[in-house]
Amino acid sequence: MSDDKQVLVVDDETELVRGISLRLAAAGFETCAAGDGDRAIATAVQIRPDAIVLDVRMPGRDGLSVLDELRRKDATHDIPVVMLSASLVDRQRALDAGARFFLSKPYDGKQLVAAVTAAIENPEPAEETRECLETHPVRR
Amino acid sequence: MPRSATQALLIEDDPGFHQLLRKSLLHSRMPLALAWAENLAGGIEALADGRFDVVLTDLSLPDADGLEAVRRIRQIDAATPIVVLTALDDPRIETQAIESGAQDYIVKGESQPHTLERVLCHAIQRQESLAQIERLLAEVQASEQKLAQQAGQLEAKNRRLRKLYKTAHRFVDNVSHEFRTPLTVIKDYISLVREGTIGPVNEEQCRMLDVAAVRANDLNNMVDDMLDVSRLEAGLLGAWRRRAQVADILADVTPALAQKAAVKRIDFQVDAALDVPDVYCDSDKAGRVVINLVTNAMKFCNEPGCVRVSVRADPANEEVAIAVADNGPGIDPDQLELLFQRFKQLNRNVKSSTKGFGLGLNIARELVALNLGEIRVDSVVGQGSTFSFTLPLAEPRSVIRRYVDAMAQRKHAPRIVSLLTAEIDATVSETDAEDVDAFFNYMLRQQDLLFRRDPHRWLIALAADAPDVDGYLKRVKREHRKANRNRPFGPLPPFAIDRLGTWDVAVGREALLGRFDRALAENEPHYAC
Repeated sequence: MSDDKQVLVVDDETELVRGISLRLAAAGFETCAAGDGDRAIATAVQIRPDAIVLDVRMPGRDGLSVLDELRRKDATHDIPVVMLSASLVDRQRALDAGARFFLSKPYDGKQLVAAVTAAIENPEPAEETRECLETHPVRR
Repeated sequence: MPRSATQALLIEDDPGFHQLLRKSLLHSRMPLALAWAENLAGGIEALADGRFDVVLTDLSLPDADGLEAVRRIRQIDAATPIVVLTALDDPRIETQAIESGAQDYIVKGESQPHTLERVLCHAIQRQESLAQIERLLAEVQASEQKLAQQAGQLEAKNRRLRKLYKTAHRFVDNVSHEFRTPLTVIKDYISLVREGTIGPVNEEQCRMLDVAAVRANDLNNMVDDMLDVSRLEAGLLGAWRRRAQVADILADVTPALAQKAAVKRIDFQVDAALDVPDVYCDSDKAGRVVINLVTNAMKFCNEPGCVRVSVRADPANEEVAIAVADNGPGIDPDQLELLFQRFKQLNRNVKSSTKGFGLGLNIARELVALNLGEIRVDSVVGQGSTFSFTLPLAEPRSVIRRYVDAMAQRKHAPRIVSLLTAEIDATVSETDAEDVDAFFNYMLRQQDLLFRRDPHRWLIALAADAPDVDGYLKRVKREHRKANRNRPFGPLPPFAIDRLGTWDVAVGREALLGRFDRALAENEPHYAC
């Protein structure tokens, strides 16, 4: 099902963008990349990907502000976003801001692929969980 | 004249009235000494030595008109009660006299001797009460001022603490972020290469990448333990206790220790720990204790160094002990107590390069306590030291007994314990069951206990000052929804929670354990054996 689904990967750490892109490509996704927030928004508007993997902490414009702008633009408001951060305090903020899933860094490769797949399949959280804006860490 | 007599001063220019008053006071029941001044100047002079208990003053004096006399007396003497003598019975004069500082007034020629006496008496009492009230008022004001000052100091202190706390929090968050970011790249690249995504990998490369992945994970767990303080701050349990095998715990940590020993040319031996029953603990933390104790032993052993890890099951105490013995100099008995304190390194002969911060043993003790075990040291000077710690057997009774004992040792020992069971369908997959275990563990506070009786059944003990099972169930429901919100694999399987009972801790250890036993026996899981 993931064939010709396109995922935009946004992280200021180019090696991480490469790793995530390789992993998603191995799972059958097409990927494109952006190294900062402004380019992320421009790319998202231009190509309208099926999902976005977005780092929270980036120099300059951070992921939360990017997510906020994506949500307000007609072209991008319904694109599901999976947010990543190495800081657990970002978890709540990301989900509050409307991220479909939040993964803490270091993430598990399988979990990342599962999150992107699930985000494309169900861009909105289930009704009964919608008001829940924080999560607990499940160790694997 | 005895001093106990009331000393009264009359200021009155009419000698006739003076005589009259003196006469009428002769028959008074209270002992009273009357002094006389003919004018205000004389009266004020007499008042200077402060011996009078009460002043009677006329309002028509040659050197003062009307209430001026009262005002001038008050200027030089705030304390002595004043009774005004007036020829007119006018309520306005009464009011003005009181406002000017007098206590009472007497209409000349109208007062009977006993009335006069009572007026004097009351004036003295009233003035005393007034003085008393003023003293109390001053004290209250002083206390209020002091309190306000202290409140201000506390507020300033609070502000400073809040700022420090925020700074510390931000620091911890930044440090954890800085650690995790490179770890993310390391872990991701290891697993990409290991999975063959980049190209074929041979068997030996796979093995090495697996080791690298495990070590990177260890590092990540350490960062989590040290820096993810939010759970501990919230009073939640920072451990995940589960059924484990001692051999596995040792196998995880001893290869790296053996490597270290080889570099230092230390003879390092580890028991195989076969035939030891399963224990119940957080394996990562138990492994960390072994690392700390062995590292410590390697620091202090003599040359040629010898460090030995041994494992012994103690069925009578329902526990397993892991011991780390060195051939070091040993420790003086009077220094043993200091050993587990933070930042304490005993005065032992150590090469400066091997000195640490003295945190290792302190951390070890805290990790052992998290695993409901005990740590101890046996040492003979000249022969070496043996540090050992225990882990409870993976039996509900053994774990619960330690839990009850640990609870009693808490600073604020809880008063009520409730026992619950949780169950999921037996067909639930192993991964999902693991996540349910993680979920229940996440719900624990430091004073609670989770015991997994079999892959699909759990025992939960909740300790509190008042029964709060309903609150717990509400939290479980809320958190369950939250967990599902961020779970890409679909919702956690449904589970059922039953109450086994709620007991007062005051019944005592044995009675409490007996009641747990009975509740457990009635709810014995049906093992298929």
